[in-house]
Amino acid sequence: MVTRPMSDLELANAAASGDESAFAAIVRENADAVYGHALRFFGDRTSAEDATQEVFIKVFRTISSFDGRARLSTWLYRVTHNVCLDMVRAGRRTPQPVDPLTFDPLPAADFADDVVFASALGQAMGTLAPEERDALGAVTLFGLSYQEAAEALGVPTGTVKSRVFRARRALAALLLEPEGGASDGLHAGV
Amino acid sequence: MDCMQACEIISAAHDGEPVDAGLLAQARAHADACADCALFLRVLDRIASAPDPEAPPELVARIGEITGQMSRDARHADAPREAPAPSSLRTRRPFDWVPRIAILASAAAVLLVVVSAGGLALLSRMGQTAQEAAVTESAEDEALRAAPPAGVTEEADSPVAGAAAPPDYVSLDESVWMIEGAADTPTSTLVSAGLVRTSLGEGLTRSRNAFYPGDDRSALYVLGDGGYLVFRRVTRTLGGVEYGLVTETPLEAFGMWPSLPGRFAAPVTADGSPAFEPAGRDDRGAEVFVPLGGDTADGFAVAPDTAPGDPAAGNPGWTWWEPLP
Repeated sequence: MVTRPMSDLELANAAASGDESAFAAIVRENADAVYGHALRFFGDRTSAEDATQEVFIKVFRTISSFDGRARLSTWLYRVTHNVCLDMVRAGRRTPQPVDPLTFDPLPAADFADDVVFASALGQAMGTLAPEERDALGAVTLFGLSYQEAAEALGVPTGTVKSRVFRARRALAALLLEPEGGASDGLHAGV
Repeated sequence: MDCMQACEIISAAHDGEPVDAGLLAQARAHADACADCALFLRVLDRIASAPDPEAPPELVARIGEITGQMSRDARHADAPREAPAPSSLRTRRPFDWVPRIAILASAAAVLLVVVSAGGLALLSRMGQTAQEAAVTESAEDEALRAAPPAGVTEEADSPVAGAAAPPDYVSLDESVWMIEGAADTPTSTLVSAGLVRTSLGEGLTRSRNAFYPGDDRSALYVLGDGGYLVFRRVTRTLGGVEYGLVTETPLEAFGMWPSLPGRFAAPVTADGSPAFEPAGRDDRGAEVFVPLGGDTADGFAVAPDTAPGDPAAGNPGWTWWEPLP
């Protein structure tokens, strides 16, 4: 017998009706994205863990309100975004901004090293404007389209497009020094 | 086409966004001949191939435990019974019935001011995002803040099924403490006891500062969002000597029972075998057990189903007690 994967709505309905395995599947499938976004938002693991836990407890309590109009990942992104902001508003957590001036581009060897590069990327994320980090996380971690991210953030699609691009442009300038030193064009003013 | 246009088009295409094929071809042709754009594309590819952050497995497990317990409690709450609601489901939080208290010492007050200032500055920096967030409160988000789903009770005194619910416990290192209530302004000097990782029944498990009131080690003040809660060490006496309850599993949320240390095999019979043997009774008359050949002076175990009023009453598992210093 061939079983097809459950749709988002079926999974959410199953979880809402008390199917623990369905909710566990939602956590399993999305924990990395939620944690990754919170980690990039706050810049420290403890805050990211607290945010992730709060997101899924909130999702658990409200899963019955998911109506399937948006994808589950869009809904989860929105909850994550709001939980992070709520934690800051409540004074419970403060994101750790990173000064881009303290950031040195990676040597070529480190650029190729997964572990070193991932660590540097995490740090470099801290230099981005929060709205750029938000848009980039929505697209790259939650897999949202620009339109889905725009709807979740309440901004035009073009704004998401430009924020994602600006974020990448800033990261490129930070992570890899142009051959022959600083250049103009893309890297100017970053 | 300039660098900005070329890279923005390539960036969008990289994300799977629909891009005009002609424009994309022009952008690629530009990038092929431009060192700056080539560098951008190199980083774009490198970011895409870099591993994304992964949630720690223990975090995922903890979320599963907490929501699993909430799910089971919610199911129990559907069946009317006589016992009180599990504390893990209480949305009437301990602080709700307690006037807020301002008790921090001056150093703590200064720290609070500094932290608040930092938060405000950051919110200011995030102004645009925060504003957007206010706009993006969707119907779904409204639902998130609205009534709880079916099966989750709001009131602490809702009927619920099953055995007695655990008291509201926290653990400090391995010692177990039971809630006594909210604290009035402490009159004695608070001495740091370290960090207690607990949800305090507020949903979010995190590390919280805990204090002893002066030299008294029988009480623990835990600082929550609304002020201090006082916890009392769970103890029993044997031969006039006081023993404290310990737990292997950290009690990170209300609604959890202390567990027997993992070094002991779980008893399979009422006489405690294979891990324990009977060793008499404590001062309340509860039977105590020691490891084979052991001595109560080193600690003892107590079987489940102790009498009402016993400090282990209701715990469905064996408990372990160690002499207090």
